[in-house]
Amino acid sequence: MTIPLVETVGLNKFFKTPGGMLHAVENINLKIPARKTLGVVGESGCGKSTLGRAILRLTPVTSGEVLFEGKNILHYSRDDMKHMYRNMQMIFQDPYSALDPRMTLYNLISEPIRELYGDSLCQTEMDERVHLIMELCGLPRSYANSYPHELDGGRRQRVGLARAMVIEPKFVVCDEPVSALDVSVQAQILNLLMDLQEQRGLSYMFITHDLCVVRHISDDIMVMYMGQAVECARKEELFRHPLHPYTKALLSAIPSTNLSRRNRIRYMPKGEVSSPINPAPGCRFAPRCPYVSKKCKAEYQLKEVDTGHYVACHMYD
Amino acid sequence: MAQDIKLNLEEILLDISDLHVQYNTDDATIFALNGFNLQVRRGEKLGLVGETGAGKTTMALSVLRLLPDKIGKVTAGRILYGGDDLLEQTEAYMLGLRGRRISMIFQDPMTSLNPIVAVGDQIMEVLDLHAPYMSRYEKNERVDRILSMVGIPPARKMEFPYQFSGGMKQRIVIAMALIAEPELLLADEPTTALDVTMQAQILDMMSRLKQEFNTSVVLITHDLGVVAEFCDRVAVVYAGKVVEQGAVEQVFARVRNHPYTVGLLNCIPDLESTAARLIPIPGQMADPTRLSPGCAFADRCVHCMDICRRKPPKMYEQDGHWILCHLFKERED
Repeated sequence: MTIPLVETVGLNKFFKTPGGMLHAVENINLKIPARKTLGVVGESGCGKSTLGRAILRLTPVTSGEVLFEGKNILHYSRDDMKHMYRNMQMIFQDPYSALDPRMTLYNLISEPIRELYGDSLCQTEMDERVHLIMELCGLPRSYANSYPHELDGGRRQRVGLARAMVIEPKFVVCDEPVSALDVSVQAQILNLLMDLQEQRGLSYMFITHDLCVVRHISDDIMVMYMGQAVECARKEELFRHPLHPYTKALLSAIPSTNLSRRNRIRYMPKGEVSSPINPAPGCRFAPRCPYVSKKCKAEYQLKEVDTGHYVACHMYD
Repeated sequence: MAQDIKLNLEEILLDISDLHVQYNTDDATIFALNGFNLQVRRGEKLGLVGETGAGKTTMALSVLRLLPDKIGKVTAGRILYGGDDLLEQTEAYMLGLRGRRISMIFQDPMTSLNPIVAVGDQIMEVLDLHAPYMSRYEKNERVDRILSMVGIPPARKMEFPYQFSGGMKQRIVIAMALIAEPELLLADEPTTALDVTMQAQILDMMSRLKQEFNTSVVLITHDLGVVAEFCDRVAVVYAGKVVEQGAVEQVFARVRNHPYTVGLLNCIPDLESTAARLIPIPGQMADPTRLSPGCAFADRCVHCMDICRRKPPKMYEQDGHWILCHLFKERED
């Protein structure tokens, strides 16, 4: 059994609010093997971005473990973490606010090297690295002295990508990297991400609410609902045999341009998302679930029901 | 068939023809709409799709005459609404029209609601303005009714926007847009900020409300899937022009499409395909500061011919499905 590149064990992230504890991420156990992509889907506010940030230690974790190549990085000191960031990086959703408007593209892209490697690279080496990654990310070299405001959204996202890729990480958390982009640009960026993965053997954690995108890019998919993982499986398996009622609702709600799908049966969850502050024990989806039983409100557990197919639903006990 | 078309022609509610709009900024003149043609029939749901900068929102703002003062200018064209040319009406007429006969929903519900006014009062404002003759009691009744129609307990009307989730806020905005029972609803990306289950709920709800009030809906979106499921007809916009228009069944049958529509359909990952790579549309969006003498899409088109760069394409029409492209020639018969 090989060690996964990234693993979390019982990861919790709670926020203290005036009203009580907000359970943003609760008891998440995930494994991302090398060279693979884990897609994380769920509605906004379900904790998927917080999960990504917690794994990279961009936000303090409440409890649990984050293992990178088998080692728990939560105890690492600041200096050790700086070293870790050579291996793990993040791409943010909004390319407009993720870039310092006063820096040129060259400075933006070389910044991570300067931050993480200090002055160990000479100018020529640095130039080489920056130009190479710009080329890989589809940014013409002539842009090196441009500022972010001179670029359109797609190119700005390419800069965000170049910044993450320039230090050659092994693992990248992509937080909705294509949500703010037009579909034709989105297709370019998705292709680029997949090319880079193939060339460099990267692992991704791909956070999105777009199920078509996640199906396209992922190997495994984890569905989240209010901080809990409700289902996790290989993507083909998940789309073919969704088990959890929430996953079923999610998949049936995807609008499709295929006219034959127009009259499909849609499962609609009733009611509204309840408050994540001091939530009741058990399955978070229980108040909206048509198949709810007493047990659902008492106990939550993610169980393997088929090889590699995990679901947190008492219907499959 | 011919009879059907004639019948439909009589029912046209909004008729935009050859509309040209430009924004004059200090740096350049941006040609936002360049001969925009669109017909909206009474009671239909029309999807307006296109990428950022195609002119979708400009079209909606032109209809409501809300283009930014001094910068945005209509340079040519007509907007007929119920027989009146909106471009020639007085501001007083427009005030009576906005929110009463034509309503608009903006993309971001967070910024469309006043954070320090209770949501019930915000909805009632519309009635205060457009139905001053109504009694307080009657207005209250109306607010309660519309809130329950959009699935919000009327008991919560004294609460403030921050106390609602994103999807609920969007439904409050919809309630506000519909309380005056307008004939036309311009919905600018109403579900873009929402998740699929919430999106499906909102679209279902809009469909039901449409049934109830026989409102025409123009749904501005970049999501082709939403259009295919929600709309009766679709218009595809590129560089300030509608390049294809037809019934959803005609356009999504993928038998005959404008190359730009084909490009859009190809670059979205869909649920059945197993292709490893997506096919993006080559090149960049046409520069809106420079108008091409021919087809604006020519530089990005895989079928581009000599004529495409020289002459603007003529309309090719078949059974109400029309395409602006040199690839298709009008049949002689």
